[in-house]
Amino acid sequence: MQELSEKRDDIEEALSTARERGAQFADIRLESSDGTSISAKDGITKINSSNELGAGIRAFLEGAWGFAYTTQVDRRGMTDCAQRAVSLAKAVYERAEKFSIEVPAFEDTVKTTVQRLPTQVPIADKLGYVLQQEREAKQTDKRVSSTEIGYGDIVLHKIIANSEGTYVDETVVRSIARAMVFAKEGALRQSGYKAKGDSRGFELFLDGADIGRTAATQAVSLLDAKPAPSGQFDAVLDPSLSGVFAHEAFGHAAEADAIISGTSILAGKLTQKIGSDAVTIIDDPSLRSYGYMAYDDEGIQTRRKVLLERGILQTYLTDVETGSRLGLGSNGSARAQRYDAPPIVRMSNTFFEPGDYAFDELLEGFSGIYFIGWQYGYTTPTTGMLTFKSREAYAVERGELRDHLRDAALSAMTLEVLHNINAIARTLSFDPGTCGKGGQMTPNTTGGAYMRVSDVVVGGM
Amino acid sequence: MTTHTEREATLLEVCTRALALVDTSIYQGEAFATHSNSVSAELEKGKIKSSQSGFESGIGIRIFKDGSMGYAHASLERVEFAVDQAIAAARAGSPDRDFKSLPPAERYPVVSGTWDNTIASLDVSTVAQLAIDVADASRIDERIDIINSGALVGWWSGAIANTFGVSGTDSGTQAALDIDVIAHKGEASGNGFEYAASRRFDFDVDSVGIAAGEMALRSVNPQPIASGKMPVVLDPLAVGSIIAAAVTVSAEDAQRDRSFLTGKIGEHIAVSEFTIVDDGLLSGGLETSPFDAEGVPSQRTPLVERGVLRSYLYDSYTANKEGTTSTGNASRGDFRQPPSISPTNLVIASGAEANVIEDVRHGIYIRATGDRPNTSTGEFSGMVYAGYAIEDGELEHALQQTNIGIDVLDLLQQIDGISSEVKTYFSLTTPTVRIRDVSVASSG
Repeated sequence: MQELSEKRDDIEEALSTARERGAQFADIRLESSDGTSISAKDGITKINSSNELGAGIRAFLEGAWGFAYTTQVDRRGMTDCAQRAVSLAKAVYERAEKFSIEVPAFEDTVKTTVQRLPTQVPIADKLGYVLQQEREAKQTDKRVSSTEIGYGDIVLHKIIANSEGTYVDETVVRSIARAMVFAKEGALRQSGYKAKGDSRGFELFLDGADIGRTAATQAVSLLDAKPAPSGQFDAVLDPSLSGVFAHEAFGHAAEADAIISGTSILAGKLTQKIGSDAVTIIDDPSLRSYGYMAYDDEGIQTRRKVLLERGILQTYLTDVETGSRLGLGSNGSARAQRYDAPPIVRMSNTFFEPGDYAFDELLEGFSGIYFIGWQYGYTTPTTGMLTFKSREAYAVERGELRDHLRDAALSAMTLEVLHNINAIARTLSFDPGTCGKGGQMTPNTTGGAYMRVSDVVVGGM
Repeated sequence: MTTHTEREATLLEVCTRALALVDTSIYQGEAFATHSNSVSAELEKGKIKSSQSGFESGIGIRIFKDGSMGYAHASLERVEFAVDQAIAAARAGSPDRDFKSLPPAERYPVVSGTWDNTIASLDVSTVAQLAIDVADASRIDERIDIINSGALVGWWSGAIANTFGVSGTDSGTQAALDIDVIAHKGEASGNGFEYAASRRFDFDVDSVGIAAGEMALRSVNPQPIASGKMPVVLDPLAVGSIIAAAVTVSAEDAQRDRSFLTGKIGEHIAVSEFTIVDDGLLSGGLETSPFDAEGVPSQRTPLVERGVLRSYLYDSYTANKEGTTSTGNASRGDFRQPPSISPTNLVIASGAEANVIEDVRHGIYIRATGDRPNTSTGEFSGMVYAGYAIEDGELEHALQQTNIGIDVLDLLQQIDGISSEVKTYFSLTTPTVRIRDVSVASSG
């Protein structure tokens, strides 16, 4: 790991150069990271060691941003980079929408405390965990035909500083493992998936919990599943799917850049009742989970944000620019994939507040489809039309689980779902994931509890 | 100013220096180095929002010990560090008897249309102007009120070498344009989008903007339709996510028995009018290069020929495992990733129909879906992200909350219309395709 702490003078030199050259505001993110990723596909291992060092610099001028980055992180390299960022902003600012920004300053040093720092764990231990998950998956059932176990960790040290006096030194640690397992019987193939991830070190994998066996069990059980019916049904979503709804359908629409660019269904709806009383949705980067960060990538201290409270839209996710333009201030929602990309408005750990139902109570008298696990899904931002593909599902008749279903997709309109959620269970659980936006990937958590929704369209084969 | 040929020579020299650190009596090694530049600009609601420029260089080292692969990347100043890390990773992993060897040195074909001097000399103002011009072109009607667009140009040079004498260099340019438009009519709104990408700075900016504007107007006020079985016409964009995604099978998936097309080489899987080729040599193709990500010469590979499944996509590992030759389909995003198998340029053969919609009495037209087929089962079910009803041979209202479901093998046998006109989206060139009978579920 490269030492960054001695760079303060160089950083401040680069920032003053940007101001002297005409930037009204400038900031810098200097990052150094060490990571390991391992994949095992049917016993064949690939180990990838990743080390990054670089800085990204932004310059702001009357509503336009210039962004440049460099891997040469000495005084000369960062100063040159700052000058390039200013030149970029100057080249285009006359054609920009004019606005000013307000940037609160923070000075702090934060380190994620972990029990077993990944950079100090022998690679043989990490590999041992991966191969053990693979063995567990293979031993689950004779019909398990192929396994793919992935492991990743990162120790990321960054310094975020700006021309308003912010100087934040933050170290984040993250670990994740994923199991994808295929099962086969005759010509029929099915897959199962399980992941665990957190802002923790290698201790995350020492609790005996198993992802290989869980994924394998799902794949095998789906061999007997039937294709899903199609039509309009009431639905129960498991915590994975309700978490994805909170993130994908609601959360992206609550990102303030979408509000400003006119591409969100939530524009103009602050303080309005847009969901049922059962619905409260939160984004909380300060929560120690896979999407954790104490400060965002603009150096703003993060906090728990209640976006939707008992159906009433309370706020949007904002960064410095959007918070200034909407008069809300930044609530610490700026994130960048790496030093070579500019921060944009993003979620972190996004979840439904649990309700007070037991799972059995949700199913009492219920007829419809019970969806489990998330394969993928997406929404059309301007209309709020969404589709989610589940990993498995059950047809339910008057509270009794009937046919086991595969590849069941549900589609609905986001604002209708928010009104149609009529019960949420009391146990909250989280899933780690990766979110893509504007070509940038970030680690995120989605969370929720079992949840009942009326009237969704189910598509099967 | 350094020319791209000079840069290629420097990168190749770094690769050679890296491989000199590898003890070839124990290890096989590969070095891949790139230098890339980009300039981009983004418009929000018709006004400039930001501009960016970046350049970066780096090296990726792949080391094998008894088939165990270790990979590491670093900046060009830290080559020795990357080699040490990759060796340590290779030593830690498990041996793999199926790994035979990295590819040998071969002569490379000459490719054309991959470099445009104009692109490498563009400044940010010109790029920003492109994003502004495409936005202006989309204002074809007063109902169009929100326009977000972006433009990007990039150029790069790369070099590859391995311990078996592979040694190659290449350079390329690319320009890309995207636009997203919203039209309003009272309370109703509609979304339109278009993309263009090219190796040259040669966009027909007006037609890109107009296409997005027209799509937005057409998409205002979407409605469901009655569910049932009906003909479905796939726009080139939808052909890519449904058909091309299903029939381009990596040999890795086939060998692991994870594809619905496993064991079907030589079988008639589609109507005889259907042909798709993976062409790494296509003139001006976005994925065209003389060699792939591990230095295997690029080639033209028929995947489905007149309905018959001919080939999977191979890299050197999967080819060696089967005792065949690589199709040159190793690919990587950048120096940070080891190679993996993916298509190069895909070309689907055009058909005979001037208009594939006019004979459809009642059906739907799918412009785009975000869904992909399940490539292990061969089933496709997905939402129509953007699409329209077809009534009596004409495109009618936009579709709301409409899903389709079909088995891909059925779909390929039910193709009953292929347009004579083709369109290129990124690395896919394809006609519009009509499917006879697909189950469509809508909330109506």
